[in-house]
Amino acid sequence: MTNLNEQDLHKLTKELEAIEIPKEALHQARMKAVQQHRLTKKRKRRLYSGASVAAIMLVLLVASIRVSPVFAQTMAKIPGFDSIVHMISFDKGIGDIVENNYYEELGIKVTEGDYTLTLQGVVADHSGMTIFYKLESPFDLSDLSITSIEVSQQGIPFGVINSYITSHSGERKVHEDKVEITSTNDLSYDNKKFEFNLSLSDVAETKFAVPFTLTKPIEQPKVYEVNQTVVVDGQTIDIKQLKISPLRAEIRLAADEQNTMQLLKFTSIRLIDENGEEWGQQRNDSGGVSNLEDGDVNLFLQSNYFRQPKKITLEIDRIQALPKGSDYIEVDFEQKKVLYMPSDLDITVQVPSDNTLEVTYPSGGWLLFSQMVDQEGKSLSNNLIETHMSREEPYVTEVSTFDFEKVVNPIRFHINSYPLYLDGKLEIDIPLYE
Amino acid sequence: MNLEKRAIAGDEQALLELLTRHEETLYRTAFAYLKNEHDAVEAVQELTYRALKKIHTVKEPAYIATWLVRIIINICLDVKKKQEKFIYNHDVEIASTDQQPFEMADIIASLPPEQQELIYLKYFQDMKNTDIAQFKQIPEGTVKSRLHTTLKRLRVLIEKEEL
Repeated sequence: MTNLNEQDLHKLTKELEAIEIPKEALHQARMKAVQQHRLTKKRKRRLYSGASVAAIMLVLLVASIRVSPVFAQTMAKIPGFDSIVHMISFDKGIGDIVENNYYEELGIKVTEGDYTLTLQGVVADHSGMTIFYKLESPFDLSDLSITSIEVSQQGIPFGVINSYITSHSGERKVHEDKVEITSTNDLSYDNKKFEFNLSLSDVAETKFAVPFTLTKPIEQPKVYEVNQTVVVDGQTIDIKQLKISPLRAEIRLAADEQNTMQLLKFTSIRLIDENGEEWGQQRNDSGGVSNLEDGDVNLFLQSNYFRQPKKITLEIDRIQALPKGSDYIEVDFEQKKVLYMPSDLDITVQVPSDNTLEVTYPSGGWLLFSQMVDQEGKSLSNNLIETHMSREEPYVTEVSTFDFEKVVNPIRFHINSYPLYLDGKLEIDIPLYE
Repeated sequence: MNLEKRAIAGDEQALLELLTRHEETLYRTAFAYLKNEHDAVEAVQELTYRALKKIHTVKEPAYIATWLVRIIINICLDVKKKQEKFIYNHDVEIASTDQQPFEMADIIASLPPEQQELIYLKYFQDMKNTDIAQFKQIPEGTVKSRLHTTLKRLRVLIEKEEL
């Protein structure tokens, strides 16, 4: 009896095998589903996209925000500051700034159409400026993006805006954030009149231009010339200078050209005083590291500006590095082909279209790539249109879209961060003198 | 890393490659239920979407193909349910002819989904009882007895049909 059924089943199998497979239609169907899936992913993560492309060196991978109760209490005493306590990942420097009254309250409120922008306050020094602001509307802000933010001094852009979040998920009517401006050269405060410009992505393309003036005196940085050479895991590093401003401490260093390894991110840096008290890395924007044009590297740390330590020790640990020559990938977008990819690395690269790159990699804490250059070595940092990211621990997937008009393939992407580390740490005493 | 592992790790291209490799089985299964190209292609689109969304939940790379079959059966059953509602609402009846192709598929479709899956795995995917047992995480004996029950039921259904 069972046999009878099995024969019937066999008949069905035969019937099914006779069906022609519409290969092309199936291919199209799958492609449609991929698009559909990408769109929903996009909607879900609500990313950090931006027209202002220079500002896109963003980091979603910041350490979780920790605010100590004492710190929160201190902050809450200051008018206008209580509401923004939650936005500041715990930074001892900011704590000191507040205690030493170096925070300047602004409280400037401007309404344009459906939106109201409030500049809550600012902290300014020669290394940078941090502005706290609030955007409100009677309507839901979740579909709104900030397309650009700029701060100017007499019409000239002031420093570099490191990053800002252009959009968020979740329905809400208030968006509070801070904008951090940094500069590799000392910022000048000869003129203390500024303008804060912010543009929105709404239909009316609402723009704000809010003038503000600083009244408090600007503190001068403390600069220590270090000039010491250290060797970690066979790699030579020159520690050049330590500069401490109210907002941040900066360590300037350079990797020796003879090194066999390309140093990437410095993931653990500390200043320690004679009592063992530590000032750690700043966990904002660039993750506390910026590469300077002359090959030097600037590391940003929390500031102990308002303290008078008798001794400072610098400790650097967990330095990410890759062998020179395997620290980039190369892609020909015209042919949609990956030309070079370091074989030992767990990175998957796809080129879904002639201006899109999709990379999946184990997270090193930062974006995989720092910069890209075309065949002629021309930097293409302004050609990035947007990047979308998603995470599936321990992997991060980035899908980036570029504007490749007038660009000569192949394109080389330099790796910025990858979770492989030098073996060893460096420790030096900073000679203190005033 | 092999294709299956890469697909589970979230490699879109790898999953698409797998879907292409199994497209004949998947499409034919969909066709058996839906009986026309248009709906079967749509079912494959929905399958691709659901697979992309849920691939990370697959634990055993070896059973991706089976997992895909299960999804497409579920999709087809959903579609059929909607079609039935539609037909009911509009008071339309399908004219039944004597020698319908895929008659057997219809009969299978009236089994509970669990049993349908079993039939497709066993007879169209040619899976061995041991593999089915591992995939479903049930003892091999249970697979045997379930198959037996399913076939018995199928036989009853066929006899009804033939009346």
